[in-house]
Amino acid sequence: MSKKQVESYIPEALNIIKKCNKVGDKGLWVEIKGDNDNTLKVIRKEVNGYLASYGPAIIQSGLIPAVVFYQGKDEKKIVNDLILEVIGKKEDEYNKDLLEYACNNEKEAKEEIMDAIIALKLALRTFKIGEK
Amino acid sequence: MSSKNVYFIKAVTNLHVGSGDVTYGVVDNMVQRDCVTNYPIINSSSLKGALRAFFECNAKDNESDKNNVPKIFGKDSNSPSQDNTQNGKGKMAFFDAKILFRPVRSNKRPYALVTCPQALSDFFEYLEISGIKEDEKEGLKQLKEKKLENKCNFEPKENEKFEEISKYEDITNLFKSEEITNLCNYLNLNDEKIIICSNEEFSNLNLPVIARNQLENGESKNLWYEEVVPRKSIFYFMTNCEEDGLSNTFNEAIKEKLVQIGGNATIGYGFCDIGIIKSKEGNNE
Repeated sequence: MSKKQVESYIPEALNIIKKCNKVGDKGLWVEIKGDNDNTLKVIRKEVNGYLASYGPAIIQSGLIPAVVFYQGKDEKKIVNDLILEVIGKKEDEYNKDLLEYACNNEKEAKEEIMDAIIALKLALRTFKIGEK
Repeated sequence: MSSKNVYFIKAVTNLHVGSGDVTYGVVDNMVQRDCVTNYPIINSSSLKGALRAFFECNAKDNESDKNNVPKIFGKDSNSPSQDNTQNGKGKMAFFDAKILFRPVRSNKRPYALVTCPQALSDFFEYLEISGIKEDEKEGLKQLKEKKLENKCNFEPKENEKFEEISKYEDITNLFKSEEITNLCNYLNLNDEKIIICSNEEFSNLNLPVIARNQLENGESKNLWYEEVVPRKSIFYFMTNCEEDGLSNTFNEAIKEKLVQIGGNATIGYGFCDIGIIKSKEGNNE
């Protein structure tokens, strides 16, 4: 873990979370009813859990198996999309998804992904997280 | 007259000496790490606290042992019953416990212990400060002068692989060396299989992470992950004692007993065997 790298990723992570418009079962946000019957957007609780278990999954199983696990088409994929955006590889046409990037650059990707996970975990704490 | 001693700590069970909640790492509860090398350590304050608790527990029925606790560790500010005329400072100073060996899995045997030149060099530094005898110093000097990386004290088996050490996926990189056997004999690690990997490989070795869960009526209420130093790991630490007699008392008390260090004692974490490695009296004068 590089403290400097994590610090530099945090503003990026905050922006990405704010701008993310994916709402629903496979998204980052979920809509709930507020006290005055208005609709509020809160972070989907599961996303917080996925991020918390991503790092241990990398340590226990290795980088690529962990990325593959989160890469499927199900509701976990949002985490890989967020990480790819935080590390700034989303615009790169050779790295369309995190798995491709991790496979092609395993050594540096591990550090970057770990730092991005920490930054995202910290950034998420500043938003309201929904109840399951 | 003061004496310095070096002790080893063999982790009999997994060890978790936590760094507290202020490290926002990838794992929720991380272990303490050295501020220079980032290798796992046991901070001197944690070590001293664990040893004090061990001594207080063992001295319950013995008045003389009871009196030794404040002498060795200093006055307990939380205990008003102690003699107020006594100086508050303990006569024994404890230094950080640094890691020397940690186990890695092998596909052909249960495990091998791994260390690196940096960890060995730190260990030799402690031994020199503690003032080892000249003949032993000669043996260690030979070890220090050799290039130790990529050495082991056993014959690797065909297609043997050590998990997490990528360099030894091809074991032809590993050479059997007599010097490592000498080091093992010196540390009484006769049956252990030792590998010396590079500093880089050693610092990249991940510690095991264990998932813990708090259940209420079978429902998960809190899931967290904690890093542990695996059992079979070996640490070492140094003490500086201002009174010779106390040093002997300390050695006798920890002899052949398990000391619990770090958190999660009730689930069997942190039980360690502590023993003396080398000593020479009055060397720091």
